Amino acid sequence: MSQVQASPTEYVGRPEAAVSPVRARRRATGSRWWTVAVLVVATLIALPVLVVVSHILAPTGDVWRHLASTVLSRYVWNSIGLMLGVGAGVLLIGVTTAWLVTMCRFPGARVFEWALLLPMAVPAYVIAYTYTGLLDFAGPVQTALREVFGWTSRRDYWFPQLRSLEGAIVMMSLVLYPYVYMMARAAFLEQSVCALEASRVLGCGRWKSFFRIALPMARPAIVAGTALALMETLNDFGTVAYFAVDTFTTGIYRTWFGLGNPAAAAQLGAVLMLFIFALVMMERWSRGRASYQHMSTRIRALPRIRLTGWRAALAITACALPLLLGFVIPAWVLGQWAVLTWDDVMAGGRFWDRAINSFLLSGSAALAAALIGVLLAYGQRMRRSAVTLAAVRVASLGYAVPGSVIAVGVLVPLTAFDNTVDAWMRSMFGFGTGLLLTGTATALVYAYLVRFLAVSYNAIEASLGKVTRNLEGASRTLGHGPFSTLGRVHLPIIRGSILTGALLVFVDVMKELPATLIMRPFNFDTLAVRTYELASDERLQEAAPAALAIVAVGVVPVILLSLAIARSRPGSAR
Amino acid sequence: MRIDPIRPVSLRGEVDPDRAGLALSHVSHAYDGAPVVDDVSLTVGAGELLCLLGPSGCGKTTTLRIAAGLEAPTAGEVRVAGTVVADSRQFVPPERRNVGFLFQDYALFPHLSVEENVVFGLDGMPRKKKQERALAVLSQVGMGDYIRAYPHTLSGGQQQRVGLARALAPEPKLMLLDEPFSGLDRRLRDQVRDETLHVLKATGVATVMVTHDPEEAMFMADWIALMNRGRIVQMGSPVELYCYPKTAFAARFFGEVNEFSARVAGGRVETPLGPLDPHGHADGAAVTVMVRPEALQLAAIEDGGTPAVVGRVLASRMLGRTSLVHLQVETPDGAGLHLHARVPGRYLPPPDERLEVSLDRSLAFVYAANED
Repeated sequence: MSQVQASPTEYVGRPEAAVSPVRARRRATGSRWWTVAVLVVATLIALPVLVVVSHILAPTGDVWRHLASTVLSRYVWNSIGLMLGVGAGVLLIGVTTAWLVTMCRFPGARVFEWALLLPMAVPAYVIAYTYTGLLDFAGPVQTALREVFGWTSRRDYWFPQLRSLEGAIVMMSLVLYPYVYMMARAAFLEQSVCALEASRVLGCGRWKSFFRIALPMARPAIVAGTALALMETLNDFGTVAYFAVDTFTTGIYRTWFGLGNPAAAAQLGAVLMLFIFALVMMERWSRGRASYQHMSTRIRALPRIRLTGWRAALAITACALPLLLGFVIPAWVLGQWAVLTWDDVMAGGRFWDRAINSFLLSGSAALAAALIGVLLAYGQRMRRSAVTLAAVRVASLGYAVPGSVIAVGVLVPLTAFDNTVDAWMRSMFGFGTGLLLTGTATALVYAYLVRFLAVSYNAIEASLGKVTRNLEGASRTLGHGPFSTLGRVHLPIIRGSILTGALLVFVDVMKELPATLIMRPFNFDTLAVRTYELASDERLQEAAPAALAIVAVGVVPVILLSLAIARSRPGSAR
Repeated sequence: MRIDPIRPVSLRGEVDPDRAGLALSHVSHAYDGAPVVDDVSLTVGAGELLCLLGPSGCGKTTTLRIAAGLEAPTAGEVRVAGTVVADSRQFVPPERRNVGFLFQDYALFPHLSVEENVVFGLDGMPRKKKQERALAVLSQVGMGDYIRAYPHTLSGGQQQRVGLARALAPEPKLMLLDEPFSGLDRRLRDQVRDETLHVLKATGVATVMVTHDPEEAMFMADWIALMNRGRIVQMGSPVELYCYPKTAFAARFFGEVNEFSARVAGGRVETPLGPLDPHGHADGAAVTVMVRPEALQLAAIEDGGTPAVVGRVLASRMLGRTSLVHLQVETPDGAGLHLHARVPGRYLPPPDERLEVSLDRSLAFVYAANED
């Protein structure tokens, strides 16, 4: 007879069951060094955020009391006002334009579909400088008005003051609305036509259907987009500093440099983190809800409403205004100024030094973000566990934390580290090492990683999902170990996404202002810092070449994004 | 050895685990404490093809992955080609086991051409040798003309063949196939199945194949290990499993059965189809009787004849190579028993015709009632 070793009746308990399954799985899926590496790197990346958060409870004495009694309420109210205003602004612009380009057909709709993303390329501080130069008393607009109407002084007429909370709200809304536009547009496109048609059959008109069906269904996506825009609002330093609107970011900067009190600055950062935490929760929560919004798997291109006559004109105006104000006009004005000041700015070659500094910083941060992103994503995959997952989650929180807060969170432990090493060296060998890391480009790149690692990690992690477990298994059974498999299977397949992630980090670092300003080495200028300095000195026109370079680099990811959107359009690809 | 062609019992002696392509002994595996593979032991000799057969979730694929080293057993010992590759002390990773694995989705590397896919497992060979070997195995599976093609340009059947060639290229001591035909449509499947069997038999490699389709298992396998809930329920030749299923589960899994309950009395099981041997069940025990549809032989009743069992035709259907007859057989309680009879060729008696029913007792099985 054949062997039957395990018939149900013969089965009795096995002593081997005591062998821990965890140990067994560890052996199968790879060495524990993956876990160690992931944990160490994730902890390093998460450290600054944790340092700041820990300051919620730390006592800082008089300075904090002074801050609380004088400026804190101003910071809070200005920040809240800014968030409410920008929130309303991005919702109005983003939802309207998204609805128009997805649900309606009118001349130019196809172009607006991608062109409406362009304002994203312009950092808020750049648009603020540009419009200030354009609209202030000495600027071309007011000068022209005075000439036409024969006014001679400020007292003869009223002109809106751009350097105000309201001005900051308008400036930020103009460049941040694409977050809402992008998410709302995707949500409208994904909506099943069935729900809308059912609503029509049930007797609702087109407009009523929009407000009662389409808008509520897209709400989670819209909320998520708004949360992202508001995170950027809280992160902004250049605009509010220039407009003298005191918010947390300017407060942190001033407490750090003016009062020289890192602990109080960190404490301000901790309060700001509460705002951020609320936004992150809002974003996570609505994303979770968005995932089960679609009851029907039938996705068909929505029948678009054809607009003609004055309706079409209105739609074109509604889409063209944000595009003109948010991108075309600023870019054109910057171009004019750059031509005007080109020879002066280029003289001495300092411009190119700064450009090279910017590129080197952005390049090293992008490279490091790609490498660490691969390590975290692959390590997490090799040895999936709750601990590493949590560590990676915490490490990727940095994307929501303002640059100024991260700068504080990096500098506090680094300074402590430098002082400890210095003191130890002094006592042991009789000479000090001074500040080893503080104020170096390395520290700055570290801060960029803390802030932007999530960008590259998310791109790499999502793409790693394309490499199936079986592909991995095929490589292993064909004689290739984990590292060989990474190099010969994973990396070639996800190469595109690594590049995309690195590119996004590159551009973000190019634009980054507050952390660079606080942490840069002595006498080390970048394009963003120079733009800020020149603008602060009211030399707006000379700032144009640098600002234009930043905008030009910023256009690259916008192009990538619009290509990705075009490719992923449901219905058209299938 | 002389073999009875009608009723071969087991032809297989013990396979020496030191010479077997694969030997699992008391292997268990659990995910988060839930046992998936439970004390499984089996051996596969060189040149043999063993099918792990069972319903989905019975642990057959996990068993295969344990053999490959893609999962580690929580207990037990795994040997590949006589060498211990996993026990409580050591674990040899998959890349050092010299096994070939054909995945359900073939898992061809999308960024590599057909040739590069096959060469992938041939590291350490001179370039020229690699290419020759790749061409040889690809020709063996009939894909020699596609070495420059990329996987996404190939049909499902072609991808399957490249996957097979890639797994065979490094001349593994053990081949593992995970549902290798389930992605193909029916017509293609029969053809690819046949070709795969011939290629495997030609290489003479020990092979374990996972499937949930008993017909496929009988087509491919020298030996079948039937699994349920992580355990091997029965292991033997296809004939053994089909004709001598040891449990009700095995009988049901291997093909359609007519199933009804009965009771043992006076050393016999009384059924509407006549008395059956109780197979060791004591008097008074409730049993389940299972009868394969082809075990029912139908014949016209001759004039004046009084056959022991009479069935009334309810409907007859032609199903290609066989015909299916729905019958109503009288029972003492008058409720009647609905049976399916499968008859070779075209046999379509009209409804309400009365037929003599006789039973091939070798295809009638008796199990304790409520047994799984």
